Amino acid sequence: MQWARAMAAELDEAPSAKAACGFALGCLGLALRLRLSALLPSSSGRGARSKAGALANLSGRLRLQHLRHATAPRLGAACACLAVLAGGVFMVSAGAPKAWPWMNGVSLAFALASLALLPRQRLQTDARLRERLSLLLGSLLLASCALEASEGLNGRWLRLGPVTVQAVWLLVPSLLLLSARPAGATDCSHAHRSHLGVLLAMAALWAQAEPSWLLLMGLVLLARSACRPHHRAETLLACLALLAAGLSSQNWRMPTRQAFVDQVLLQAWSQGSSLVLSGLMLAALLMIVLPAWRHRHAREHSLLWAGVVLLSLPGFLPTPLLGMGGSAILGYVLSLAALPGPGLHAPSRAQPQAAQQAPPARRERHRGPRHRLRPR
Amino acid sequence: MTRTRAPSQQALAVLLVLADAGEEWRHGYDIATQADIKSGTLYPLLMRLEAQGQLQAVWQESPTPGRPPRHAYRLTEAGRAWLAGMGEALEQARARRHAAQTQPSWAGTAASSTRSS
Repeated sequence: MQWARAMAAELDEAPSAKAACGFALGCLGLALRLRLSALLPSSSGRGARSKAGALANLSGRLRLQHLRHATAPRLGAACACLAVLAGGVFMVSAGAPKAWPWMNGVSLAFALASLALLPRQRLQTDARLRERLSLLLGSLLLASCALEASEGLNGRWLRLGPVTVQAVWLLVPSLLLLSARPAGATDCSHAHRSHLGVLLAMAALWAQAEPSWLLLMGLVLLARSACRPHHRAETLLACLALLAAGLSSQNWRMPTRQAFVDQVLLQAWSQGSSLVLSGLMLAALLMIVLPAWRHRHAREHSLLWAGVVLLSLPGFLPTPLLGMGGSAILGYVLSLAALPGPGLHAPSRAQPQAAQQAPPARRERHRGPRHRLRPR
Repeated sequence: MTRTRAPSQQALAVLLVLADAGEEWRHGYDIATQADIKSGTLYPLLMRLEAQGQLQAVWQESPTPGRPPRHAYRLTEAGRAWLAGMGEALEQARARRHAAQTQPSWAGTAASSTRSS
Protein backbone atom coordinates (compact mmCIF):
# COMPACT_ATOMS: atom_id res chain seq x y z
CA MET A 1 0.00 0.00 0.00
CA GLN A 2 2.85 2.32 0.86
CA TRP A 3 4.40 1.74 -2.56
CA ALA A 4 1.09 2.26 -4.32
CA ARG A 5 0.74 5.64 -2.60
CA ALA A 6 4.32 6.46 -3.55
CA MET A 7 3.61 5.72 -7.21
CA ALA A 8 0.34 7.67 -7.19
CA ALA A 9 2.03 10.73 -5.68
CA GLU A 10 4.52 10.86 -8.55
CA LEU A 11 1.82 11.27 -11.17
CA ASP A 12 1.33 14.91 -10.19
CA GLU A 13 4.96 15.62 -11.01
CA ALA A 14 4.80 14.40 -14.61
CA PRO A 15 5.22 17.36 -16.97
CA SER A 16 2.56 16.22 -19.45
CA ALA A 17 -0.54 14.06 -19.59
CA LYS A 18 1.26 11.64 -21.92
CA ALA A 19 4.16 11.21 -19.50
CA ALA A 20 1.75 10.74 -16.60
CA CYS A 21 -0.20 8.17 -18.59
CA GLY A 22 2.96 6.21 -19.44
CA PHE A 23 4.09 6.28 -15.81
CA ALA A 24 0.64 5.19 -14.60
CA LEU A 25 0.46 2.34 -17.10
CA GLY A 26 3.83 1.04 -15.93
CA CYS A 27 2.61 1.18 -12.33
CA LEU A 28 -0.62 -0.58 -13.26
CA GLY A 29 1.32 -3.38 -14.94
CA LEU A 30 3.45 -3.73 -11.84
CA ALA A 31 0.38 -3.80 -9.58
CA LEU A 32 -1.18 -6.56 -11.70
CA ARG A 33 2.04 -8.59 -11.58
CA LEU A 34 2.26 -8.23 -7.80
CA ARG A 35 -1.40 -9.16 -7.41
CA LEU A 36 -0.92 -12.24 -9.56
CA SER A 37 2.06 -13.37 -7.56
CA ALA A 38 0.10 -12.79 -4.34
CA LEU A 39 -2.70 -15.00 -5.68
CA LEU A 40 -0.27 -17.82 -6.30
CA PRO A 41 1.00 -18.81 -2.86
CA SER A 42 3.56 -21.25 -4.16
CA SER A 43 5.20 -18.54 -6.21
CA SER A 44 6.22 -16.48 -3.19
CA GLY A 45 9.82 -16.41 -2.21
CA ARG A 46 13.02 -16.11 -4.07
CA GLY A 47 12.06 -18.29 -7.02
CA ALA A 48 9.23 -15.99 -7.94
CA ARG A 49 11.52 -13.05 -8.35
CA SER A 50 12.73 -14.32 -11.68
CA LYS A 51 10.34 -14.30 -14.59
CA ALA A 52 11.14 -17.91 -15.40
CA GLY A 53 10.37 -18.96 -11.85
CA ALA A 54 7.07 -17.12 -11.86
CA LEU A 55 6.07 -18.62 -15.18
CA ALA A 56 7.02 -22.10 -14.02
CA ASN A 57 4.90 -21.64 -10.93
CA LEU A 58 2.04 -20.28 -13.00
CA SER A 59 2.08 -23.25 -15.35
CA GLY A 60 2.23 -25.51 -12.35
CA ARG A 61 -0.90 -23.91 -10.98
CA LEU A 62 -2.72 -24.25 -14.27
CA ARG A 63 -2.41 -27.99 -14.39
CA LEU A 64 -5.34 -30.00 -15.64
CA GLN A 65 -5.99 -31.20 -12.14
CA HIS A 66 -6.87 -27.67 -11.08
CA LEU A 67 -9.13 -27.20 -14.06
CA ARG A 68 -10.96 -30.37 -13.12
CA HIS A 69 -11.98 -28.96 -9.77
CA ALA A 70 -12.77 -25.48 -11.06
CA THR A 71 -16.36 -24.31 -10.92
CA ALA A 72 -18.23 -24.14 -14.21
CA PRO A 73 -17.92 -20.34 -14.59
CA ARG A 74 -14.17 -20.48 -13.87
CA LEU A 75 -13.66 -23.37 -16.25
CA GLY A 76 -15.72 -21.57 -18.88
CA ALA A 77 -13.75 -18.36 -18.34
CA ALA A 78 -10.48 -20.25 -18.71
CA CYS A 79 -11.75 -21.85 -21.91
CA ALA A 80 -12.83 -18.44 -23.22
CA CYS A 81 -9.35 -17.05 -22.49
CA LEU A 82 -7.68 -19.89 -24.36
CA ALA A 83 -10.09 -19.63 -27.30
CA VAL A 84 -9.64 -15.86 -27.60
CA LEU A 85 -5.88 -16.33 -27.34
CA ALA A 86 -5.94 -18.94 -30.10
CA GLY A 87 -8.07 -16.63 -32.23
CA GLY A 88 -5.62 -13.81 -31.60
CA VAL A 89 -2.68 -16.00 -32.64
CA PHE A 90 -4.50 -16.87 -35.84
CA MET A 91 -5.36 -13.26 -36.60
CA VAL A 92 -1.79 -12.11 -36.05
CA SER A 93 -0.31 -14.92 -38.14
CA ALA A 94 -2.87 -14.59 -40.95
CA GLY A 95 -2.52 -10.83 -41.35
CA ALA A 96 -5.70 -9.47 -39.77
CA PRO A 97 -5.78 -5.77 -38.86
CA LYS A 98 -3.48 -5.30 -35.91
CA ALA A 99 -6.13 -3.80 -33.68
CA TRP A 100 -8.52 -6.73 -33.93
CA PRO A 101 -6.80 -9.19 -31.57
CA TRP A 102 -6.41 -6.37 -29.07
CA MET A 103 -10.07 -5.45 -29.37
CA ASN A 104 -11.02 -9.05 -28.66
CA GLY A 105 -8.63 -9.00 -25.71
CA VAL A 106 -10.18 -5.85 -24.30
CA SER A 107 -13.66 -7.35 -24.73
CA LEU A 108 -12.51 -10.46 -22.89
CA ALA A 109 -11.02 -8.41 -20.06
CA PHE A 110 -14.23 -6.43 -19.75
CA ALA A 111 -16.31 -9.60 -19.80
CA LEU A 112 -14.15 -11.31 -17.17
CA ALA A 113 -14.28 -8.24 -14.93
CA SER A 114 -18.08 -8.20 -15.28
CA LEU A 115 -18.26 -11.91 -14.49
CA ALA A 116 -16.15 -11.36 -11.39
CA LEU A 117 -18.32 -8.49 -10.22
CA LEU A 118 -21.69 -10.14 -10.84
CA PRO A 119 -23.30 -11.79 -7.78
CA ARG A 120 -22.97 -15.27 -9.26
CA GLN A 121 -24.06 -17.18 -6.19
CA ARG A 122 -27.27 -15.22 -5.91
CA LEU A 123 -27.89 -15.54 -9.61
CA GLN A 124 -27.51 -19.30 -9.29
CA THR A 125 -29.68 -19.77 -6.25
CA ASP A 126 -32.36 -17.08 -6.33
CA ALA A 127 -35.09 -18.45 -8.61
CA ARG A 128 -37.16 -15.28 -8.41
CA LEU A 129 -34.23 -13.10 -9.40
CA ARG A 130 -33.55 -15.37 -12.35
CA GLU A 131 -37.17 -15.09 -13.49
CA ARG A 132 -37.20 -11.32 -13.17
CA LEU A 133 -33.95 -11.03 -15.07
CA SER A 134 -35.32 -13.30 -17.82
CA LEU A 135 -38.25 -10.97 -18.20
CA LEU A 136 -35.99 -7.92 -18.16
CA LEU A 137 -33.62 -9.32 -20.77
CA GLY A 138 -36.55 -10.37 -22.96
CA SER A 139 -37.97 -6.86 -22.73
CA LEU A 140 -34.59 -5.33 -23.55
CA LEU A 141 -34.23 -7.56 -26.56
CA LEU A 142 -37.65 -6.55 -27.78
CA ALA A 143 -36.79 -2.90 -27.18
CA SER A 144 -33.64 -3.36 -29.27
CA CYS A 145 -35.91 -3.86 -32.30
CA ALA A 146 -36.45 -0.11 -32.19
CA LEU A 147 -32.78 0.41 -33.08
CA GLU A 148 -32.04 1.14 -36.66
CA ALA A 149 -30.86 -1.84 -38.69
CA SER A 150 -27.35 -1.52 -40.11
CA GLU A 151 -27.15 -2.02 -43.82
CA GLY A 152 -25.57 -5.31 -44.81
CA LEU A 153 -25.50 -6.58 -41.24
CA ASN A 154 -27.87 -8.89 -39.41
CA GLY A 155 -29.41 -8.00 -36.09
CA ARG A 156 -29.45 -4.69 -34.28
CA TRP A 157 -26.30 -2.95 -33.15
CA LEU A 158 -26.23 -0.93 -29.98
CA ARG A 159 -23.76 1.94 -29.78
CA LEU A 160 -22.16 2.35 -26.35
CA GLY A 161 -19.79 5.24 -26.93
CA PRO A 162 -16.94 4.01 -29.10
CA VAL A 163 -18.07 0.40 -28.80
CA THR A 164 -20.82 -1.24 -30.84
CA VAL A 165 -22.37 -4.45 -29.58
CA GLN A 166 -24.95 -6.79 -31.01
CA ALA A 167 -27.85 -7.04 -28.60
CA VAL A 168 -28.80 -10.56 -29.63
CA TRP A 169 -25.39 -12.06 -28.79
CA LEU A 170 -25.29 -10.17 -25.54
CA LEU A 171 -28.75 -10.99 -24.25
CA VAL A 172 -30.06 -14.25 -25.72
CA PRO A 173 -27.55 -16.72 -24.18
CA SER A 174 -27.96 -15.25 -20.70
CA LEU A 175 -31.74 -15.04 -21.04
CA LEU A 176 -32.03 -18.62 -22.17
CA LEU A 177 -29.93 -19.91 -19.28
CA LEU A 178 -31.64 -17.68 -16.74
CA SER A 179 -34.99 -19.06 -17.82
CA ALA A 180 -33.89 -22.53 -16.67
CA ARG A 181 -35.30 -23.28 -13.28
CA PRO A 182 -32.60 -24.45 -10.89
CA ALA A 183 -32.91 -28.11 -9.93
CA GLY A 184 -34.50 -28.45 -6.53
CA ALA A 185 -36.40 -25.17 -6.75
CA THR A 186 -39.92 -25.91 -5.62
CA ASP A 187 -41.67 -22.56 -5.95
CA CYS A 188 -43.00 -22.40 -9.52
CA SER A 189 -45.50 -19.61 -8.89
CA HIS A 190 -43.48 -17.02 -10.80
CA ALA A 191 -42.27 -19.24 -13.63
CA HIS A 192 -44.57 -17.40 -16.00
CA ARG A 193 -42.23 -14.42 -15.81
CA SER A 194 -39.36 -16.33 -17.35
CA HIS A 195 -41.70 -17.87 -19.91
CA LEU A 196 -42.88 -14.38 -20.82
CA GLY A 197 -39.26 -13.26 -21.11
CA VAL A 198 -38.56 -16.11 -23.54
CA LEU A 199 -41.68 -15.24 -25.52
CA LEU A 200 -40.61 -11.60 -25.79
CA ALA A 201 -37.18 -12.72 -26.92
CA MET A 202 -38.75 -14.93 -29.57
CA ALA A 203 -40.81 -12.01 -30.83
CA ALA A 204 -37.68 -9.86 -30.97
CA LEU A 205 -35.69 -12.52 -32.82
CA TRP A 206 -38.53 -13.01 -35.26
CA ALA A 207 -38.76 -9.27 -35.85
CA GLN A 208 -35.00 -9.07 -36.39
CA ALA A 209 -35.05 -12.09 -38.72
CA GLU A 210 -32.69 -14.24 -36.68
CA PRO A 211 -33.71 -17.82 -37.53
CA SER A 212 -30.39 -19.24 -36.34
CA TRP A 213 -30.90 -17.97 -32.81
CA LEU A 214 -34.56 -19.06 -32.84
CA LEU A 215 -33.47 -22.52 -33.93
CA LEU A 216 -30.92 -22.69 -31.13
CA MET A 217 -33.48 -21.45 -28.64
CA GLY A 218 -35.93 -24.08 -29.78
CA LEU A 219 -33.37 -26.86 -29.52
CA VAL A 220 -32.26 -25.85 -26.04
CA LEU A 221 -35.87 -25.60 -24.84
CA LEU A 222 -36.63 -28.94 -26.44
CA ALA A 223 -33.69 -30.55 -24.65
CA ARG A 224 -34.83 -28.97 -21.40
CA SER A 225 -38.38 -30.19 -21.81
CA ALA A 226 -37.07 -33.69 -22.60
CA CYS A 227 -35.25 -33.71 -19.26
CA ARG A 228 -38.34 -32.46 -17.42
CA PRO A 229 -41.34 -34.02 -19.12
CA HIS A 230 -43.79 -32.53 -16.62
CA HIS A 231 -42.85 -28.98 -17.68
CA ARG A 232 -45.28 -28.66 -20.57
CA ALA A 233 -44.78 -24.92 -20.96
CA GLU A 234 -41.20 -25.45 -22.07
CA THR A 235 -42.27 -27.95 -24.70
CA LEU A 236 -44.75 -25.43 -26.01
CA LEU A 237 -42.13 -22.68 -26.03
CA ALA A 238 -39.72 -24.96 -27.88
CA CYS A 239 -42.32 -25.65 -30.56
CA LEU A 240 -43.06 -21.93 -30.86
CA ALA A 241 -39.36 -21.11 -31.22
CA LEU A 242 -38.90 -23.70 -33.95
CA LEU A 243 -41.99 -22.45 -35.73
CA ALA A 244 -40.74 -18.87 -35.51
CA ALA A 245 -37.35 -20.04 -36.84
CA GLY A 246 -39.06 -21.51 -39.86
CA LEU A 247 -41.10 -18.39 -40.45
CA SER A 248 -38.24 -15.93 -40.04
CA SER A 249 -36.00 -17.95 -42.34
CA GLN A 250 -38.24 -16.71 -45.17
CA ASN A 251 -36.94 -13.17 -44.61
CA TRP A 252 -33.38 -14.13 -43.80
CA ARG A 253 -30.46 -13.51 -46.09
CA MET A 254 -27.07 -15.14 -45.80
CA PRO A 255 -24.68 -12.49 -44.39
CA THR A 256 -21.76 -11.37 -46.54
CA ARG A 257 -18.70 -13.34 -45.53
CA GLN A 258 -16.11 -11.29 -43.70
CA ALA A 259 -12.55 -12.47 -43.22
CA PHE A 260 -11.58 -13.16 -39.59
CA VAL A 261 -15.24 -12.91 -38.55
CA ASP A 262 -17.11 -15.64 -40.41
CA GLN A 263 -16.01 -19.21 -41.10
CA VAL A 264 -12.72 -18.68 -39.31
CA LEU A 265 -11.94 -22.40 -39.13
CA LEU A 266 -12.43 -22.77 -42.87
CA GLN A 267 -10.31 -19.71 -43.44
CA ALA A 268 -7.51 -21.16 -41.29
CA TRP A 269 -7.69 -24.35 -43.30
CA SER A 270 -7.93 -22.83 -46.76
CA GLN A 271 -5.32 -20.12 -46.33
CA GLY A 272 -2.61 -22.71 -46.27
CA SER A 273 -1.93 -22.00 -42.63
CA SER A 274 0.09 -24.62 -40.88
CA LEU A 275 -1.61 -27.76 -39.75
CA VAL A 276 -0.70 -26.89 -36.18
CA LEU A 277 -2.60 -23.60 -36.42
CA SER A 278 -5.65 -25.27 -37.92
CA GLY A 279 -5.53 -27.89 -35.17
CA LEU A 280 -5.23 -25.14 -32.61
CA MET A 281 -8.32 -23.44 -33.98
CA LEU A 282 -10.30 -26.67 -33.95
CA ALA A 283 -9.20 -27.37 -30.38
CA ALA A 284 -10.19 -23.86 -29.38
CA LEU A 285 -13.64 -24.30 -30.90
CA LEU A 286 -14.10 -27.54 -29.00
CA MET A 287 -12.90 -25.83 -25.85
CA ILE A 288 -15.92 -23.55 -25.97
CA VAL A 289 -18.12 -26.49 -25.02
CA LEU A 290 -15.77 -27.87 -22.39
CA PRO A 291 -17.66 -26.75 -19.23
CA ALA A 292 -20.32 -29.43 -19.75
CA TRP A 293 -17.62 -32.11 -19.62
CA ARG A 294 -17.10 -31.48 -15.91
CA HIS A 295 -20.40 -29.93 -14.81
CA ARG A 296 -23.83 -31.28 -15.54
CA HIS A 297 -25.50 -28.00 -14.77
CA ALA A 298 -23.51 -26.39 -17.60
CA ARG A 299 -24.97 -28.73 -20.21
CA GLU A 300 -27.42 -26.17 -21.58
CA HIS A 301 -24.65 -23.59 -21.84
CA SER A 302 -22.49 -25.97 -23.78
CA LEU A 303 -25.40 -27.17 -25.89
CA LEU A 304 -26.24 -23.61 -26.86
CA TRP A 305 -22.66 -22.69 -27.71
CA ALA A 306 -22.08 -25.98 -29.50
CA GLY A 307 -25.05 -25.01 -31.66
CA VAL A 308 -23.53 -21.56 -32.26
CA VAL A 309 -20.22 -23.16 -33.22
CA LEU A 310 -22.00 -25.59 -35.53
CA LEU A 311 -23.96 -22.83 -37.26
CA SER A 312 -20.81 -20.75 -37.55
CA LEU A 313 -19.08 -23.44 -39.63
CA PRO A 314 -21.19 -22.87 -42.76
CA GLY A 315 -21.30 -19.14 -41.99
CA PHE A 316 -24.86 -18.76 -40.70
CA LEU A 317 -23.41 -17.07 -37.63
CA PRO A 318 -20.02 -15.42 -37.00
CA THR A 319 -17.42 -17.67 -35.39
CA PRO A 320 -17.63 -17.01 -31.66
CA LEU A 321 -14.51 -16.12 -29.64
CA LEU A 322 -12.04 -17.11 -32.35
CA GLY A 323 -13.16 -14.50 -34.85
CA MET A 324 -13.29 -10.76 -34.43
CA GLY A 325 -16.32 -9.81 -32.34
CA GLY A 326 -16.63 -8.60 -28.79
CA SER A 327 -20.36 -9.31 -28.57
CA ALA A 328 -19.82 -13.07 -28.79
CA ILE A 329 -17.09 -12.91 -26.13
CA LEU A 330 -19.30 -10.88 -23.82
CA GLY A 331 -22.26 -13.17 -24.50
CA TYR A 332 -20.27 -16.32 -23.79
CA VAL A 333 -18.63 -15.11 -20.59
CA LEU A 334 -21.68 -13.35 -19.16
CA SER A 335 -23.87 -16.38 -19.81
CA LEU A 336 -21.55 -18.33 -17.49
CA ALA A 337 -22.96 -16.23 -14.66
CA ALA A 338 -26.47 -17.31 -15.63
CA LEU A 339 -25.84 -21.02 -15.11
CA PRO A 340 -28.18 -22.63 -12.60
CA GLY A 341 -26.32 -23.55 -9.43
CA PRO A 342 -25.08 -27.10 -8.94
CA GLY A 343 -25.82 -27.11 -5.23
CA LEU A 344 -29.54 -26.76 -5.74
CA HIS A 345 -30.19 -30.42 -6.42
CA ALA A 346 -32.37 -31.55 -3.57
CA PRO A 347 -30.55 -34.27 -1.64
CA SER A 348 -32.38 -37.54 -1.38
CA ARG A 349 -33.92 -38.46 1.96
CA ALA A 350 -31.83 -41.61 2.22
CA GLN A 351 -28.49 -39.80 2.45
CA PRO A 352 -28.91 -36.12 3.22
CA GLN A 353 -25.66 -35.88 5.19
CA ALA A 354 -23.56 -37.68 2.62
CA ALA A 355 -24.96 -35.43 -0.06
CA GLN A 356 -24.08 -32.33 1.93
CA GLN A 357 -20.55 -33.48 2.66
CA ALA A 358 -19.58 -34.45 -0.86
CA PRO A 359 -18.26 -31.77 -3.22
CA PRO A 360 -21.00 -30.54 -5.58
CA ALA A 361 -19.41 -31.77 -8.81
CA ARG A 362 -18.85 -35.28 -7.47
CA ARG A 363 -22.24 -35.38 -5.79
CA GLU A 364 -24.11 -34.79 -9.00
CA ARG A 365 -22.01 -37.24 -10.99
CA HIS A 366 -22.02 -40.24 -8.68
CA ARG A 367 -25.32 -39.97 -6.90
CA GLY A 368 -27.02 -42.89 -8.64
CA PRO A 369 -24.36 -45.62 -8.70
CA ARG A 370 -23.13 -44.87 -5.15
CA HIS A 371 -26.62 -45.14 -3.80
CA ARG A 372 -27.14 -48.50 -5.39
CA LEU A 373 -23.78 -49.92 -4.32
CA ARG A 374 -23.96 -48.79 -0.71
CA PRO A 375 -24.86 -51.68 1.63
CA ARG A 376 -28.03 -51.10 3.62
CA MET B 1 20.30 -14.35 5.08
CA THR B 2 19.68 -12.33 1.95
CA ARG B 3 21.75 -13.21 -1.06
CA THR B 4 22.82 -10.21 -3.11
CA ARG B 5 22.82 -10.87 -6.83
CA ALA B 6 24.85 -8.99 -9.40
CA PRO B 7 22.72 -5.95 -10.29
CA SER B 8 21.08 -5.71 -13.70
CA GLN B 9 21.72 -2.81 -16.07
CA GLN B 10 18.52 -1.14 -14.94
CA ALA B 11 19.50 -1.55 -11.30
CA LEU B 12 22.92 -0.08 -12.06
CA ALA B 13 21.29 2.89 -13.80
CA VAL B 14 19.11 3.54 -10.75
CA LEU B 15 22.04 3.14 -8.38
CA LEU B 16 24.06 5.53 -10.49
CA VAL B 17 21.39 8.21 -10.28
CA LEU B 18 21.21 7.76 -6.52
CA ALA B 19 24.99 7.72 -6.18
CA ASP B 20 25.30 10.96 -8.14
CA ALA B 21 22.68 12.54 -5.89
CA GLY B 22 24.87 11.85 -2.83
CA GLU B 23 23.06 12.89 0.34
CA GLU B 24 20.16 14.44 -1.53
CA TRP B 25 16.78 12.75 -1.62
CA ARG B 26 15.44 11.78 -5.04
CA HIS B 27 11.87 11.01 -6.08
CA GLY B 28 10.57 8.14 -8.16
CA TYR B 29 9.63 10.10 -11.27
CA ASP B 30 13.01 11.88 -11.38
CA ILE B 31 14.89 8.60 -11.00
CA ALA B 32 12.83 6.97 -13.75
CA THR B 33 13.50 9.91 -16.08
CA GLN B 34 17.21 10.12 -15.37
CA ALA B 35 17.83 6.39 -15.42
CA ASP B 36 15.58 6.14 -18.50
CA ILE B 37 13.59 3.21 -17.22
CA LYS B 38 9.88 2.66 -16.94
CA SER B 39 7.94 2.92 -13.71
CA GLY B 40 7.03 -0.77 -13.82
CA THR B 41 10.75 -1.59 -13.74
CA LEU B 42 11.79 1.12 -11.30
CA TYR B 43 9.58 0.33 -8.34
CA PRO B 44 10.41 -3.38 -8.02
CA LEU B 45 14.07 -2.31 -7.98
CA LEU B 46 13.43 0.30 -5.32
CA MET B 47 11.45 -2.20 -3.26
CA ARG B 48 14.24 -4.76 -3.46
CA LEU B 49 17.01 -2.30 -2.71
CA GLU B 50 15.13 -0.99 0.30
CA ALA B 51 14.46 -4.52 1.54
CA GLN B 52 18.18 -5.27 1.22
CA GLY B 53 19.03 -2.17 3.23
CA GLN B 54 20.91 -0.45 0.44
CA LEU B 55 18.36 2.27 0.11
CA GLN B 56 16.40 4.32 2.57
CA ALA B 57 13.03 5.86 1.85
CA VAL B 58 11.10 8.62 3.58
CA TRP B 59 7.85 10.47 3.03
CA GLN B 60 8.31 14.15 2.24
CA GLU B 61 5.61 16.78 2.26
CA SER B 62 5.14 18.33 -1.17
CA PRO B 63 6.02 22.06 -1.35
CA THR B 64 2.96 22.55 -3.57
CA PRO B 65 -0.18 22.88 -1.45
CA GLY B 66 -2.83 20.23 -2.06
CA ARG B 67 -0.45 17.64 -3.42
CA PRO B 68 0.15 14.37 -1.58
CA PRO B 69 3.42 13.61 0.22
CA ARG B 70 6.09 12.03 -1.97
CA HIS B 71 8.33 9.08 -1.35
CA ALA B 72 11.99 10.07 -1.52
CA TYR B 73 15.01 7.78 -1.72
CA ARG B 74 18.74 7.86 -1.15
CA LEU B 75 21.52 5.33 -0.68
CA THR B 76 22.42 4.13 2.79
CA GLU B 77 26.01 3.76 3.95
CA ALA B 78 25.76 0.05 3.21
CA GLY B 79 24.47 0.86 -0.26
CA ARG B 80 27.35 3.22 -0.95
CA ALA B 81 29.86 0.65 0.23
CA TRP B 82 28.25 -2.02 -1.92
CA LEU B 83 28.32 0.32 -4.91
CA ALA B 84 31.95 1.23 -4.32
CA GLY B 85 32.82 -2.47 -4.43
CA MET B 86 31.43 -2.84 -7.92
CA GLY B 87 34.22 -0.93 -9.59
CA GLU B 88 34.30 -1.80 -13.25
CA ALA B 89 30.60 -2.63 -13.66
CA LEU B 90 29.71 0.78 -12.30
CA GLU B 91 32.14 2.52 -14.61
CA GLN B 92 30.69 0.67 -17.59
CA ALA B 93 27.18 1.70 -16.59
CA ARG B 94 28.36 5.29 -16.25
CA ALA B 95 29.93 5.13 -19.72
CA ARG B 96 26.73 3.72 -21.21
CA ARG B 97 24.70 6.45 -19.61
CA HIS B 98 27.08 9.10 -20.87
CA ALA B 99 26.98 7.66 -24.40
CA ALA B 100 23.19 7.57 -24.33
CA GLN B 101 23.02 11.19 -23.25
CA THR B 102 25.43 12.45 -25.88
CA GLN B 103 24.23 10.39 -28.86
CA PRO B 104 21.31 12.21 -30.55
CA SER B 105 18.54 10.10 -31.98
CA TRP B 106 16.62 10.84 -35.20
CA ALA B 107 14.00 12.64 -33.17
CA GLY B 108 16.61 14.91 -31.70
CA THR B 109 16.32 13.50 -28.23
CA ALA B 110 18.78 11.43 -26.31
CA ALA B 111 18.77 7.84 -27.44
CA SER B 112 18.17 5.20 -24.88
CA SER B 113 20.54 2.35 -24.30
CA THR B 114 19.24 1.27 -20.95
CA ARG B 115 15.52 1.27 -21.72
CA SER B 116 13.81 -1.75 -20.33
CA SER B 117 11.80 -3.98 -22.60
